[in-house]
Amino acid sequence: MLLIISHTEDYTVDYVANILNKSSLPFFRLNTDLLHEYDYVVEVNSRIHFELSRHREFQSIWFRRVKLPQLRDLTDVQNYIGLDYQSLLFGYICSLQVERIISDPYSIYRAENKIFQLKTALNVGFKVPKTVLTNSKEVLRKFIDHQPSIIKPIRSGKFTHGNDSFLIYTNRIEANHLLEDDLLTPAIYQQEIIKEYEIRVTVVGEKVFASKVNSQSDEETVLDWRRKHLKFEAYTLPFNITDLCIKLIKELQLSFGAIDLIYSTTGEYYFLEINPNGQWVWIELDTGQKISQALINYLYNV
Amino acid sequence: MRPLILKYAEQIDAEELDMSSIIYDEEFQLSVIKGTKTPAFDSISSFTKTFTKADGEGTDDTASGLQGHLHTITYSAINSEVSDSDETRPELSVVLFTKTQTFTTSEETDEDSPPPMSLSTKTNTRDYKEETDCTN
Repeated sequence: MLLIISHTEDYTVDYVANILNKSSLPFFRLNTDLLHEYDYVVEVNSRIHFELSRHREFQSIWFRRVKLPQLRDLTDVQNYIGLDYQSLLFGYICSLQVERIISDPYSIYRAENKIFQLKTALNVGFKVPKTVLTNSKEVLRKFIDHQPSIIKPIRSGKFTHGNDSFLIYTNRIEANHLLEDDLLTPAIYQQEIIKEYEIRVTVVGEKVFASKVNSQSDEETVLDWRRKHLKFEAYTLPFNITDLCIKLIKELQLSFGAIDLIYSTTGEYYFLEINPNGQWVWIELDTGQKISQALINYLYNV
Repeated sequence: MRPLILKYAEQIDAEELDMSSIIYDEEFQLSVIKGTKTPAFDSISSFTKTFTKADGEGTDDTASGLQGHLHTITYSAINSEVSDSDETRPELSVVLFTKTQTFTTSEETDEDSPPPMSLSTKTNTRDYKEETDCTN
């Protein structure tokens, strides 16, 4: 049986669960936002025996998303007790002996770090834009002066302040943006690569699905294609780049990854970043690529 | 002093997508149309078929709205593709990294002192309370 670790509002899991139900493939969806509602027994004797919601044996795990349980009667200690539940969850995951996992949570969290993924991409042989992270204005000024550059968040660009929600996309940074009273907190500064188009590569095990987006066709999406919902189309990568994508996934000890690449006007492929638990349903809906089937085949060892 | 990165922050429309027509179903382990056992994503394919057949006429309002919502949700979630959906509480990754470190050094974790990463987490949370992302 397949164990899916997620929450009740993960529509990507809904999409796959629908296919699994129709194919009569057994699975158990563990919703972490409801973790406090499951029955569990952990016996530690000569070995650790875990039983959660009467399920004992799984052959594979799909680790999607985690959310702290919403403990309505314990709002004053919600975080503390919520984290106790998370420890239980990770004890459970670590104790399971499974044949296949997409992907090991330890590897996912490590690979979500953008500095680490840039280093790993370079190691496997990807071309990466010149990059700097610094709190020195002198170093940053030199970098910006040397070539057209962009600034982007070191992690998620989404946050709220008061009742307002904000997003930080990739933006061009110019010398006059940098003022004396600016505080340089961690951010990524990169050489701006002039794009022909952009590519999203979804890797499942050793199956590679590439799709192309003409981000340069719209002024608004020149620097960041997420600003508008542009249509993606299936794309064929050269063999050597396909090979690099698979190598990167393996090097990061993942079995899934959504990789963002640039195809430059000089005819080169540049690595931007990898999302170890990235979204892909919209690509399947746009292109018809059978990513869900590859995922199911991997998890059920078909 | 203000963080440079915040100069590039853009306010977004935080209006929640209306998902009131669907509900989580324990039996099928997915979201279904309220009052039915029809999986939400099935309403998309039936909508597509209806739309194609009727040439745009007679579309079902619930299904067409939902189609847009689910497609939008699975797309807009790319703005926050991290695995920890509780962005206000990135302690999970802290717990993991702390555990890794503990395994490596074989030292006991001191429960009284916060793990190194939680200092920056707390500061960040105090300054900019992040929204819990329920959509990815």
